[in-house]
Amino acid sequence: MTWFGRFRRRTALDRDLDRELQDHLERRTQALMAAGLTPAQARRQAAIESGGAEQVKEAVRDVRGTRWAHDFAQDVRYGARSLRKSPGLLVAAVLSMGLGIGANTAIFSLVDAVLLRALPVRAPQELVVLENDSFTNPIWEEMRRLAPAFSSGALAWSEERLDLSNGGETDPASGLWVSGSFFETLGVQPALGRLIDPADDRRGGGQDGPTVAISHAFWQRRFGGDPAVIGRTLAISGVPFTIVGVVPARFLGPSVGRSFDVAIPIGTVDLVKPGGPQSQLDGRSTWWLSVMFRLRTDQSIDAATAALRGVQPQIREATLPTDWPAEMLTRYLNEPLELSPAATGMSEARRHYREPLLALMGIVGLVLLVACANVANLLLARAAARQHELSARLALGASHGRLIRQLIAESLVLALPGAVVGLTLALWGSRFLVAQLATSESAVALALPLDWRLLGFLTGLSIATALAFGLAPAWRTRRVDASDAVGHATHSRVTRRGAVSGPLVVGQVALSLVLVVVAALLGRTFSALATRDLGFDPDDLHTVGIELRRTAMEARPELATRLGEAAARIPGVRHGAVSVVEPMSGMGWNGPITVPGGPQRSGRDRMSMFNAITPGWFATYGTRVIAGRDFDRRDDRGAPVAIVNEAFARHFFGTPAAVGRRVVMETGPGRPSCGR
Amino acid sequence: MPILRRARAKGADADDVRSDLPQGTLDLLILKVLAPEPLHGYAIAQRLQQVSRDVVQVQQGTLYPALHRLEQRGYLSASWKASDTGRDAKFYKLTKQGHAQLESGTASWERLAAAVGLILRLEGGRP
Repeated sequence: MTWFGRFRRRTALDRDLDRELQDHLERRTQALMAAGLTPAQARRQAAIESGGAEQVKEAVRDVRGTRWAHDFAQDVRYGARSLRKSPGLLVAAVLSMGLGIGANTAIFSLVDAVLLRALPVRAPQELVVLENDSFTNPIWEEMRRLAPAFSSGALAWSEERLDLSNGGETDPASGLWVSGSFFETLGVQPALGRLIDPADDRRGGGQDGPTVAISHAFWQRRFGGDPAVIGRTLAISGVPFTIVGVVPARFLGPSVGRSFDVAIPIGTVDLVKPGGPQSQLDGRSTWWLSVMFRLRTDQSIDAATAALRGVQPQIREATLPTDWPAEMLTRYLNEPLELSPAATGMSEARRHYREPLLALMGIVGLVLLVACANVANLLLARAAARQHELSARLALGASHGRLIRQLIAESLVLALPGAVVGLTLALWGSRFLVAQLATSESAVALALPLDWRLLGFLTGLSIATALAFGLAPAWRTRRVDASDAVGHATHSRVTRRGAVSGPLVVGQVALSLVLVVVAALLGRTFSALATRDLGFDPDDLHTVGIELRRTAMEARPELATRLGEAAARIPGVRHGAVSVVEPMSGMGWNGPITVPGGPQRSGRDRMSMFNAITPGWFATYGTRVIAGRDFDRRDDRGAPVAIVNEAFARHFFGTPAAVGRRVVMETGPGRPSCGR
Repeated sequence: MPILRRARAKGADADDVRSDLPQGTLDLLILKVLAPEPLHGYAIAQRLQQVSRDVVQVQQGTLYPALHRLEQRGYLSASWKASDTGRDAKFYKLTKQGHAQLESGTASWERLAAAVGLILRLEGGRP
């Protein structure tokens, strides 16, 4: 019989043992009677010889090796019973622990998702990413051609908002442009149908025409998980794509913090975005693809980097941008390519949230310590009140060790509902936090599964917590004396309480103080951010995004202007205007500026941010125009004009007076600046 | 009160057979008397006492833990059967593993006993 069997079948085993010993006793009694003793004498003699039935049974039970487990189970039962008698303590302790454990688990699940967890793909440790943002398709095609020289596979992707509507209102979705090798090289298997493969990644689509693989979430949301979805078409920017498969639920894409709805081959980009005379696939300065490689087994990242740099000149020469100034071309040719590990995926989210998350982890750690101290204090107070009970136990033969085990078991009993409350809080809290991270512009999608990592963390934390707060009262039992059970010793013990709980209270106050200071600083930062002068008046300001992708390039300015004017005529609207870049949207448009006759500037020093606006935009945003005038409709056709801000004027002219000065936008004709 | 510690009968160990028999020997003796036929606990104690001419007297507090330990290790199997007196008794039977253990235990005991004998027969402490 296994240990577990012996543990579970204790009652049956005990009954069996009883019978066995009883049989022995009767046989001995009969033997003694046969030897001439009276039945009473014989029974007495046999009992004496046995050495005490209970003692024999205990010795046999010791052999089973299950005693500690039964003792523990008994302690837990007893702990639960005695805690039920003090519901106030139970509620306070469970809430304290629940909050502490919940906060820690919630933050841990984020830390795990953002910083620690590997991508759910085959052998993620073999993945390396080509450093520095993005690359042009010509570069990717060269990389793909040369990849066998330095890796066992290469893949490229790019994320973009796409429109799935078939005319009418736009239907935005997160798109993922993928190379044909993307899923195969990552080792992602389809949940349904097949995924995009190299045959699909041809210019204009492969044999099956333009194909799309959809994400599991999108499949559920849009198609209700219908398996008949394979073979149906999905309009992407009005172009029909055939759905070939569904990506498994756990694969959210290569970027941690973001997910995608549809994955389409890079080769079909021209169908979706018929931009200009040159294909985006041939654009030598259209930087849009991210590139990853899979190392060969036992190939180091350094070896791969060296091999990659060996073919770098070839790649660079073949993909030289055509319209770049010589200075930038030199840098383009010489900047060494860099690989870095990509097992945990790529992530903007990671860059942004790494430090805040670690700081949060530290703070919730402090919260947990305070919660522990809190519960420890409660238990200490209770232990003081139970002094009498404990000394009575000692007097009845319990050892100090047994008492300590008993109190620790009670702590664990207390920790269990705490952990349950904590888990509930954590599941809710981590999703709430992720929802808070998202803005209207970008949703943050993190896989936050209730997996063994999270449960392991929770269990470990709960046990550690229980030990932490159970230790103080348990340690104190060493001072309990069996003689205390007699008389009124309880009183004298209670007065000595301060000896242990004193430092505890001090620690608790110190930790709480740290937390209060941190909270105050956070509050201060928040209010500073909330009341900061944005340079415009956000009250009553409403912004609307307009999707113009389906409008011909030339017709866009006219349409935008008319839309702005139409909006301004709506009753109750004071001003209306249109701009290319929305302030605070995180979007930007920059370019180099030269001041005729001014000093030579280079690099960042000559860059400025741009926006294109319609007349009335400053009035709409409530931004003051210090000098000069606003644009009007004449400027569309007249001499090129610009409005600059004070910071620009100080930087490029050295003075706030800017009206009438001339600047050159390097990509366009010279324009005089006008106004602020 | 669950926390009550069982009073361990420390005194009972004093006149225990263990103080006379070297460690582990009792297990070997039990295996030996069970080798010819299955016996119940009482009969095992009787047989040990008879065969050893009253030298080996095993207390219940030693015998039953030993039997249960041997059973757990797989050397013995136990079952309830009618005994000669007509009452049911728990009979212990040597398993295949038990036979093997008895053999290897006997061999190592004999080797040890012979070695101890050699040393004890020295005259003047020199060969």
